[in-house]
Amino acid sequence: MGFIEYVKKESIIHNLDCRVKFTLFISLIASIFLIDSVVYYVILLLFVFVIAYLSKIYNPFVKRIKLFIPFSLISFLLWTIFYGNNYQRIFSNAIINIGYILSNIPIGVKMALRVFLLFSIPLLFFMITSPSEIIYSLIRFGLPYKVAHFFGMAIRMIYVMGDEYDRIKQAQMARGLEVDKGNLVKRIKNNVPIIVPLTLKGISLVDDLTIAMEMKGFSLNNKKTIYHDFKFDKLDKLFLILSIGILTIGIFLKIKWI
Amino acid sequence: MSLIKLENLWFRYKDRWIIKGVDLDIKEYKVYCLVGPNGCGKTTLAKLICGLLKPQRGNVFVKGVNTKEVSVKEIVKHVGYIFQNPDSQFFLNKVKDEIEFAQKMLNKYLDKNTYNYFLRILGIDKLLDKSPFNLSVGEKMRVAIMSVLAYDPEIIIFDEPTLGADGDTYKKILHIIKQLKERKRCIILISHDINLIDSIADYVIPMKDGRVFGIIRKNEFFGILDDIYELESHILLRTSGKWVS
Repeated sequence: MGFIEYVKKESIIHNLDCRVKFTLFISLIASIFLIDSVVYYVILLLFVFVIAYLSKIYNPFVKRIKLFIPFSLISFLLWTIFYGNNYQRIFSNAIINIGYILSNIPIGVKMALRVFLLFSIPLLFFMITSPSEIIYSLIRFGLPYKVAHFFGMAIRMIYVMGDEYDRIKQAQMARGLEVDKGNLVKRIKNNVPIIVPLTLKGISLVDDLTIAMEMKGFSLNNKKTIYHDFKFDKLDKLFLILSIGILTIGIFLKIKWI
Repeated sequence: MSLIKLENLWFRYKDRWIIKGVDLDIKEYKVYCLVGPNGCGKTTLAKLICGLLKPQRGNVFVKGVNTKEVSVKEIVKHVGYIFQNPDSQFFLNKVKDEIEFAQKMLNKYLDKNTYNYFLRILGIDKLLDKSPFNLSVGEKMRVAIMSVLAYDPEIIIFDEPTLGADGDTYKKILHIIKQLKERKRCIILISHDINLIDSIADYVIPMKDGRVFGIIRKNEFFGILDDIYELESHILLRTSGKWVS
């Protein structure tokens, strides 16, 4: 586990205000859907790499996004071959119409990049933003304290369950279970001895957590305060303008194209 | 031939080295106690021995076989590992099925008489048809121990077996370890329990900060207790109720 884990580093990106990071994340994701252009996707990809470099997490980031390449390749093939929903054009007289497929390559490339970006941007966001920062920013955006807290709790649970999965897997491997062996059906079957204790453990963890939170007065309806205070500096403002700029251009282009 | 041989073993988790150059050679079928402060790498070392973790540097040989070269299944046929938290392994409806799970997986069976005898010693012969999820902590621990003993491994690692155990469970666990000792099994016991070490161990393997001090006799160990725990040893000994300084 630890794939989307927060990587603690002292960098200008890590030190950005969490609200700015959140806005940037939302506007980048939105712009992927708003701006439909290969050139933009390439620029965005370069931008993502620059951010990763500035956050001093370039190497672990690149190592992790390599795993998304197969997904991108699959979407490239699917879009190139099946785009247009016109099977008669793909198979003319039982022979594959190469010309038609080749004409779809630009769309295939675009979709592959889009899928790649849709995976890598959230990964980058989670690698540079700690779960508590996400909760703070949601509260500052006006979300009720409890709702924001549950959102953060759900993110935290991913790490906890990941660790728990590893522990249970080791316990079953010590009893002779071979999890990563055999065909797909066998592998799914092999995971049953892990999934059952994991589910039970998950329920008991949530139960324990609820009791612990109740003990600390979480359900009281008084106003909650935050220990950390966040201040906007010049760099925060720059990134905020950048995010809003990207979003505005995206919306503008979308309206123009429609 | 060595039962377990560790050669310049290094293991890293993320950026931190947890095991730092451990050399160890275990040749006899005796009871070895792995002791040291929390977080010094005892459990990691145990997992390295049974092949669940692979070292970044150095080698682990179990009965002459390098753990890097064979699957975990091949190693656990010889090395039984009883986890600290037995809760995390139960998934079947009956205690009996849980106990037989490893037997079937590894196709290795303890002879019937000894099997029944061990069931009686551990006091779980009456629990066989119950659900493992409804048992007490002590009972769960005993079921976990039995599920490993059922396939008769030659080397057995107990990871804090008496943690949170009541007097009855404690006695039963002590009894079973003595029985295993008589039957010439190599036992590695991870424990902080001075009483348990005194009553059962032949040798002690002190550990500190990812390093091992070698294999020493039990009596010598009590002399260096201060250095390992950085505590006044007489406090520990006094709490054990056996010695008063």
